[in-house]
Amino acid sequence: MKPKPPIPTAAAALRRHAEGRLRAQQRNQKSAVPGQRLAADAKRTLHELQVHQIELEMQNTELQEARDRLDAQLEKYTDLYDFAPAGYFSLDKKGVIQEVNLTGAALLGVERSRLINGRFARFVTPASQPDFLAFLKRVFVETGQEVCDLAMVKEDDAAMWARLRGTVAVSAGDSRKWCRVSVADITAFQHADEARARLVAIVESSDDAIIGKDLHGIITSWNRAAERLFGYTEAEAVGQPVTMLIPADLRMEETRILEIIRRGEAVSHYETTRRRKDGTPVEVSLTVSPVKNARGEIVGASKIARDITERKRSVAELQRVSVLLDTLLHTAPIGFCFLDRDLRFVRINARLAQINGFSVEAHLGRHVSEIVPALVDSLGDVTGRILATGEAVLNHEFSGETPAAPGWMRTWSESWYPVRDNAGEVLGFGGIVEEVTARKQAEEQIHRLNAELDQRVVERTAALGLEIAAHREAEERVGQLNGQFTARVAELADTNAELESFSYTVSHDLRAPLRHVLGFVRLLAEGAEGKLDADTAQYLPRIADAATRMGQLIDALLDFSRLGRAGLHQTEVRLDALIEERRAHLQPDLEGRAIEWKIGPLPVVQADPAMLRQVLANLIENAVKFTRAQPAAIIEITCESGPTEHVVHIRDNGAGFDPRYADKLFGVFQRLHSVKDFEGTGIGLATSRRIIHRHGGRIWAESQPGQGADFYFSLPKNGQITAITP
Amino acid sequence: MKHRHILLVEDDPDSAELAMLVLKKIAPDVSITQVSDGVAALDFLEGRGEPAGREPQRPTVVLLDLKMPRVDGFGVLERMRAMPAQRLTRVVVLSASHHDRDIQRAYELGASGYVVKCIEFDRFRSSLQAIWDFWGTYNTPPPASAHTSHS
Repeated sequence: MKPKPPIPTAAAALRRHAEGRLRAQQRNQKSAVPGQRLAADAKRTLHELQVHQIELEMQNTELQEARDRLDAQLEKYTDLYDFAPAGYFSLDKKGVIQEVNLTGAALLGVERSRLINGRFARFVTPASQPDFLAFLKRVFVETGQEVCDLAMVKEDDAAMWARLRGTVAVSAGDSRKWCRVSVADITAFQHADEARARLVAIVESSDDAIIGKDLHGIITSWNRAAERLFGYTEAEAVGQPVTMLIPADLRMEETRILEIIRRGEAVSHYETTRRRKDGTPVEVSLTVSPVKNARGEIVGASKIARDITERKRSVAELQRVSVLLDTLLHTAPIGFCFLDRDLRFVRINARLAQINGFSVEAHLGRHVSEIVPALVDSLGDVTGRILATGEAVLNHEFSGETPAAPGWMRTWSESWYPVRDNAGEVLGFGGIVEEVTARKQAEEQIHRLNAELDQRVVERTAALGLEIAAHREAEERVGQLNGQFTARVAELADTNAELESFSYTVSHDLRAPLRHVLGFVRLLAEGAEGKLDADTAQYLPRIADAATRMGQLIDALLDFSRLGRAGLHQTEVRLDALIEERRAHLQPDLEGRAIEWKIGPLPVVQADPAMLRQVLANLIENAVKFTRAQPAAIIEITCESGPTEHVVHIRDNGAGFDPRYADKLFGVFQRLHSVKDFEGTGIGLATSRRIIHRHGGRIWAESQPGQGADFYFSLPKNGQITAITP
Repeated sequence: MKHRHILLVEDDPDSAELAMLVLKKIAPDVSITQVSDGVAALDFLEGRGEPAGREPQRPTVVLLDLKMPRVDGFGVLERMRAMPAQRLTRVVVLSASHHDRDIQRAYELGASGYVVKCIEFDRFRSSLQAIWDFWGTYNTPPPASAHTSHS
């Protein structure tokens, strides 16, 4: 639009134009003007009129032009108003719409005519109503421009975020106040803001470090996870080269990554090592993507770094656990397998494979019927029960043959349980199998034996009944015998007392007369010395000898009888010492004798020393006595110790005896030799036997006439004492 | 050594005579009294009975047989030890018995010695010799006052 001077202010200019135009007309009509003076006045008035006419014509033209211009402008402004990119509303104080442009009507989805005199608030959501009322109030009270964002609802119920800018306007006529409001649909911006906020929140809350960098590798953004992962705060990281996160030996990586980014390509899940602020390494998975500006030019890169230290550890741990579980499964001394729902082997351990008689691999994927056909039916029953009840079946006994051991009936105790996925769906069946064939057989054996035992108990009970009856009879008999025995013991005690009294009498009364005989014979011999003839004189010593001998017999008999009654006082006795003592005692009688003593090692024995002395004295005296005729007498005394007894052996090379009389040797007053050959009472061996018997031992002799004699006696090692031997 | 005196208590006349014969040879200057049973022995020791008015006696040694009528040797020993005057008198038992029981009882009743009468005369004689040598000659008797010092 060309600028034109406004009409009223251009009056002078208009006159100049009009005058200019008149002069041009007069130059063209010069000849037509008469007289100078009159003519001059007239001419001047005419001129004025002509100028005025021209001025009027010009003004008219200009007015016409102005109107045209105004019409054009109005049309233009109406267009501008109606088709402005914003909705314009004129609202009165009550919010009633007075005017609205087409955009405004379109914004609300209503025809303009239907909006006029309608309430604007109708399109405001209840939530935004207070904001709207406050906005109106502010516009009318205050003078400035007011802005507010409202949640609105279009005619078609579509939601819209609207930004209202309002100013007050005063109408020229009645000075009423209006509110002129521009309404802009900012729904898209609102969404973009929300989207941006969401993106920021996502980036910030991401567990992965998200880092922005430019093409020079300078960090441009840094989220909280990056802070957590690398230890640098946003302020510390932004503006720094990204290489500060890369260990020195891996710096080349960055160069390569930037090359890829510049080509517009991305790097995905690249696993590498990065360095934290404190210098410690961290295992990361990197995803780097190019960032483009609006024109599609690559201006940098976004880098997502995920800490995979834990994941790597988890994977390693998972592998370890997996291996452990495999080992656990395979080395278990009990059979284990997992069957799918169709009863095909999915897993099986070595033990069960061995039981079934196939390799582990041979089982996998095969149906139970292919492996252990004999068990299919019962296994089907069990798995059917599991599916029906959802419960495990424990310690179920299966019996049958296996291909591993054809013809051999085997028994297993098996537990089967449902194996479910996370959703609780049964995937298959876990089975634990233990071979109990041996136990089963043992149980059957025990059962059989028990039955036999029961039978035998019945039989034995019957037999026992008889035995018990017999036993009772025997007990009664024993009772009777005991009674008899007690009576017998009492009798024996009486007898012993009598015997004692007898022997006392014998010792006193029988010996006294003998003593007197001997005494008086002696006195007679002394008194009659030289008065008797030789024949008579020799009677006296013969009387004395006879009496002496009788005394010895009586003494020996008394000793013997006393043995049965005397107490046995056992102690440890050194045999060698006792023998040495007896030899010393005999020494006076050994004058002129050549005796070779062979005495072996002798033990310490348990015995009554006085009694044992008597035995040894007797046996040694016998040996000495019976070797008297030997020019080179040999007496051997040895002892052989067995586990339970000592056997003392006294051997001589003397006269010996006829073995037929070996038994008689130990009887009272038994003599195998005449008193003329070998003096003695004939009671010594009987006494010895009695002593040895009282010690719980034995005594015996072996000989041949002229071949010497062997006497033996034994003594028990534990010093047992037998009862009185009569 | 004054007033040495042997009391022989023996009931058997043969035994008594043989013992007296031997003792007289062994101890010719010693007074020997022989009584034939326990009652007589106790009467003699206490000065009772026949002949009346005798003094109580304290022999140097009493040779006592065990087996006697009325009161036997044990009875004599027992009563002697109960008498203050005879508490310490030496009593040697001269018996045919070599029963442990008799020997033990004799010592328990206070016998000073126990000699078994040997059947051989020579040994009998030598045993009496030994008794007298010891009790009558070598052994110092308790002082006379000791016999009465206790009641």
